[in-house]
Amino acid sequence: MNAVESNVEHVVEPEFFAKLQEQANMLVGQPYLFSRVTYGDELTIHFGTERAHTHSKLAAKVRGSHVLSLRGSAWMLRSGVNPVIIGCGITPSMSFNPKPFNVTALESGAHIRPGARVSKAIPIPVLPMKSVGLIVDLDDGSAFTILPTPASGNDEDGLEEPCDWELLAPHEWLRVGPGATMKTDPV
Amino acid sequence: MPSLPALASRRLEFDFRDYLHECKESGDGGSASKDFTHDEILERLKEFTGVEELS
Repeated sequence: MNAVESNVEHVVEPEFFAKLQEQANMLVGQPYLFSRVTYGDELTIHFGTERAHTHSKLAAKVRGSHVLSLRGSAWMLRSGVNPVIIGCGITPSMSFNPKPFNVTALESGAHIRPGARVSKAIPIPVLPMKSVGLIVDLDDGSAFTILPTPASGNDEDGLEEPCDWELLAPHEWLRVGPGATMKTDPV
Repeated sequence: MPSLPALASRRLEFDFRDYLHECKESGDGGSASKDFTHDEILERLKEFTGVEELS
């Protein structure tokens, strides 16, 4: 696969990346908590400190202070503690036979060292969709790679296409995509 | 997945996705393999927010 290239400044402006990098840095230093699937089979990755849900109907659930929601993007985790790669929507070009991709393996929590912290969060340009992915490195050697996928085009209700991925932090909500766009709003 | 209706609170929007997932997991409406329709989502939004009339 040749979907990710590093020299695409003609597609995505360097100033855009600098600004997005600044936003992505909100994750750096935050401990990984857990991952879980939410509505639409979208993966959410929870970092920071555990917070109780404020809504009574979700009283049994906790969430992280920083939530990275992958919306419809493909993702892959390279574990730093086990010789496995898991994910969804990405076929790695490798000579060995990777473990079957599934979310359950990630939700089990077995593939990331408890308390591992984000060491880097790096936005990456993704071709040919002129969109923006994200690499999140943890200090146990694990790494998430998030790659936007083409729009479904089946939003029959006329609502706007969802973003490619988003980060909900205590005071800010960052949305990236579709395409090389980003939006920040106060929470 | 279609966009969800915008909610007043960003955090509420995240929570609502968790709520929809809980509904599906418990077999509350829709089919196991399909997302809720827009109307079904609005119904659950009313349940979730306690607001009867959504603009």
